[in-house]
Amino acid sequence: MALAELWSYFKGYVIIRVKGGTLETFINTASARGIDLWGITKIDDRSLVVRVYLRDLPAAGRVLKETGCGGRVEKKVGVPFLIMRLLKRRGLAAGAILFSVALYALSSFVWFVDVSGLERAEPEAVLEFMAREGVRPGVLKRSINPGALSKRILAEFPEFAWAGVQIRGTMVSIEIAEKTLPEVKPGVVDVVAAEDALITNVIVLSGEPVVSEGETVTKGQTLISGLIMQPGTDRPRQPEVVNAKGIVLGRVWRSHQEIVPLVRQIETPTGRVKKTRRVVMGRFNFCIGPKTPPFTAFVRQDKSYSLPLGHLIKAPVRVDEAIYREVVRRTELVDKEAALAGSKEKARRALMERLPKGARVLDEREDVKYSQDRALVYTYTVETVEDIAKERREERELERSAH
Amino acid sequence: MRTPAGRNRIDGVQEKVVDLFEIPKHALLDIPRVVLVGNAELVLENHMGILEYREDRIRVATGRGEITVEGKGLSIARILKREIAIEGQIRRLDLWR
Repeated sequence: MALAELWSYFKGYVIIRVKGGTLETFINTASARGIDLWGITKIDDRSLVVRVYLRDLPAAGRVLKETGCGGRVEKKVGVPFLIMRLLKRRGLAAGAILFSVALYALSSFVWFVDVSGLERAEPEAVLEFMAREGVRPGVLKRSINPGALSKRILAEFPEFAWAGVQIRGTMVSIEIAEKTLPEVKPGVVDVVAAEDALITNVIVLSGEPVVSEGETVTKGQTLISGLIMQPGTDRPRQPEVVNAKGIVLGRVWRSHQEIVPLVRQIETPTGRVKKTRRVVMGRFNFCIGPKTPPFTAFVRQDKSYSLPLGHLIKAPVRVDEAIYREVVRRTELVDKEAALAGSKEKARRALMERLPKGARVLDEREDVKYSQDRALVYTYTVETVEDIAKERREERELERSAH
Repeated sequence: MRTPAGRNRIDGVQEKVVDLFEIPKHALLDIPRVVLVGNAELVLENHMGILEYREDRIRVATGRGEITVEGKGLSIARILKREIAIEGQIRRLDLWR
């Protein structure tokens, strides 16, 4: 059994070769005295191999002597022998102990100080402060109190929201979260309408609302003013210049028109072709062939020939050729439903692209009208509720306050 | 377990006590208990020593007589004060020869 073997390995045992005498008597006497024997193998008629625990070795030796058997230790197995061997090699043992002691001693010092999480502040400033507080490479880890240290960091740097000090192995790692302060823009910042809309909801975060719910506003109209008025007057209070901020929900209508032609011109070539050539020599030119188009309905193709003399020298003679191909024109009615469906899809896609993020569609309408020139006008309208607030900055606080 | 005629004089009282309390017999009396695992291992409790140890035959003394194990490549896997385990190819087992 593996477990039994492991146990005997820990206790330590010897393999003894027993010779001569009556082997059975040796086995019987030994087991009768409580000496456990195992792994007995007969080698020949007069000798066998037997395993005995290290603990029982002196007793086994006595039994050997009493029964007149000769014994010789063949092999020593187990942990106690390993330890004995190790003790003999003092240098190695001393080295192992020295190594452990050195490892322990060196790992009880701080080797690195690391600052992370900084975005605006300089880590050097924090490291310098830590060094003043007695946290720098070379000090004992035991002398550091992470909880108190993080509080002192926060006291020293008011711009930090949180500081965590952790000792990881030989590294002191300081994690810092900075406060995010709202960015204040210079000048007056108003909130204006991004679209023409019907206001449904005004939520002011800062500033003075100048429109109310139910009002119709046009694009660019001020919704929330960055100048806070004094009650009852039109004058802004001197210091109250703020960055207006807020959410203004409004209904916005957007429409897109597509013109759907109901007829299509089709040109079919009849096969009749006429050519006209014009020879141009400087200012002088003359014509070969008809000067005016020879057909009532035609497709014209122009070509120009000249001597290939390169880019530098202009050719003295050029021939311009016009080819007239006669066609028969006829108009054809378009499949109204198919054309309309295609335009609907196009209009819808075009409009959806124009919708800002976060817009909620309330209503969709479509309208089809006939126009005079044999076409349909398809209008697709979407009504949405969306945040129309847009910030606009102006450098005007001085003029206003001078009033 | 049958008792040979010669051993009948063993304390009848002790055996009766054992029967009365339903104690396993081999635990109190010197009655051997033999466990044979396949034909590869034989464990014998309450032995009284080895009489003969050869690779093809091992004879063990017990309180009720002699037990002989015959086979090939027999070895004593362990021998403790009250227990002996024999390993090898066991072919024959003789009780109370």
